[in-house]
Amino acid sequence: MSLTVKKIFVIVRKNMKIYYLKAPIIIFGIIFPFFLFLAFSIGRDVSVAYLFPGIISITMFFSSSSIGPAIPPWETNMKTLERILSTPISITSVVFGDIISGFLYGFALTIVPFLLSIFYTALQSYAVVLLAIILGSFCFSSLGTLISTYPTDTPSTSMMISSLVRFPIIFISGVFISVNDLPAAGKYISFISPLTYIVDIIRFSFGQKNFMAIWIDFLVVFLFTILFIISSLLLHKKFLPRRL
Amino acid sequence: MDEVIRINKLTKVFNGLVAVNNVSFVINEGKIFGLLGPNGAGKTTTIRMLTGIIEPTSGDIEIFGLNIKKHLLEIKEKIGVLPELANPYMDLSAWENIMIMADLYNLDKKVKISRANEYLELFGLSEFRQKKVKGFSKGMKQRLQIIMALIHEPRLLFLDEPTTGLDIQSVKLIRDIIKEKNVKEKTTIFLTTHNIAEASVLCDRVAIMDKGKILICDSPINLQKIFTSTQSLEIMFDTSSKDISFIPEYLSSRVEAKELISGIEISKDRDAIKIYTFDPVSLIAPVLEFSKANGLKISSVNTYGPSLEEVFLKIINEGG
Repeated sequence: MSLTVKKIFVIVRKNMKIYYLKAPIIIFGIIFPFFLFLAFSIGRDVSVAYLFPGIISITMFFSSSSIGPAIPPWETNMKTLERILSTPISITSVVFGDIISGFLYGFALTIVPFLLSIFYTALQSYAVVLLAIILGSFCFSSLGTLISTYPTDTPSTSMMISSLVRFPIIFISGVFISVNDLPAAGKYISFISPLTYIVDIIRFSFGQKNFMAIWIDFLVVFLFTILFIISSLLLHKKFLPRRL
Repeated sequence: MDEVIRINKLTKVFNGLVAVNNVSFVINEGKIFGLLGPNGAGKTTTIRMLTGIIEPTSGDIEIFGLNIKKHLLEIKEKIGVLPELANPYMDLSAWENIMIMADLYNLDKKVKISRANEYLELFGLSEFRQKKVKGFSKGMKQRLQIIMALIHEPRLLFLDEPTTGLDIQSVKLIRDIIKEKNVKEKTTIFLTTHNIAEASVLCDRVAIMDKGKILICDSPINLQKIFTSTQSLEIMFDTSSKDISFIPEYLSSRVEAKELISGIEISKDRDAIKIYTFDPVSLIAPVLEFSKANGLKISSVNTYGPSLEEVFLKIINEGG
């Protein structure tokens, strides 16, 4: 393993111990998306099979992007950031460490509804769902890290910005209502959300109606991921030292 | 002797405010260099630039002969840093905090375990290794942070206010270990402090900084020699007496004595007088004459060289 990768995983281990592997965080990560989805689905005449793609997508989206926005403000506030920046690790490695932490947390939590879905419904392709979970978790974790670039030392400010960005994304991404059923304007708006394409892939895998070829979905999510990573790197390089 | 740090015309401007202004100096291997100054002088900004945490607005920094812009990570491998306002991770144990640092410096497993045990013992934290840091006292946290800065045995150590606000035992322990590291392992140490006594005891060379500028840079002894006018003559009397108040007037009437004096302080109890002068011995005779004439009994006469604190205040007040 190269030295850079080793250092990235030091950051991952640190983040896991301090931020992710806490019972309340894990329980919240599982329960919150589940109840959020139920709240919008109860009373509507939908099958269990129809619910799963939505639950999987929301769990992936929320868990991967939930903690990342709070890490740099928290580390600034607790005065631990300067020590990390004084060690021989680049800002790029720190950012990748944060992204991978969010990815692993999101991936692990999304596997739970995915495994449950296997008992209830037959999937067209397990591999496609798994690939979507991997790519989607990475993409949404990168989005969380991008949100964390806002230079504040108050985690609640960062979480507020995170909610402002993330909640609208859910409602424009065809999670509760399929994109095919949205009005024309809604369809156009849904294209700017990476979650739209993940939901489309998962609906396809569950044998439901999708609106785009899945290779296009994967390509667009991949491009969103690259965009989020590059933006995170550029903004963190600019703002991280200014947090001190 | 090899140069460890060379900085040339280093300047840092934050939103139009000049925090560090055209600073240049060289530090040789195995030396303890103290950067003194009041709060807001620019000490921490200087250390942050030297450790590569922030970039200078202009100027050059070379550490171990390497330009910091081009060889940042290589330099960071060789230096240890104790930032002024840093904390260890509160939710982790002392051991976990040290291991994070050891892993970031890519230490071998055996080496990191053996060094961590050794330093925990040395800094008196051995029995607390598995305790979470949030239960530690300020002194314990600071000792842990010094271990975190030393775990890779750096050749150059930056300590930003290492003993500020600590209990006496922690201060003594930290100072002793700094000195030992310097003497036994020839570790070069860059220390910022506003504790003059600390700089006087530890440092080979001291720079006094204010408003972003280095006002003077020399050994503590040479600084004291430069400011000989802050030598003093202290005379203590057996009993308090109003007559002591007339000593300044008497000395002023003696032209040859008047020219020697730069300041006079009388104690609140009127039983002692301190005269600042560059020639304390010449003032003893006129004071004795006055005392004899006024029936004052002298209990002691002492002469003092200037303390580093007096030098510091004089430089800061005069702005160099």
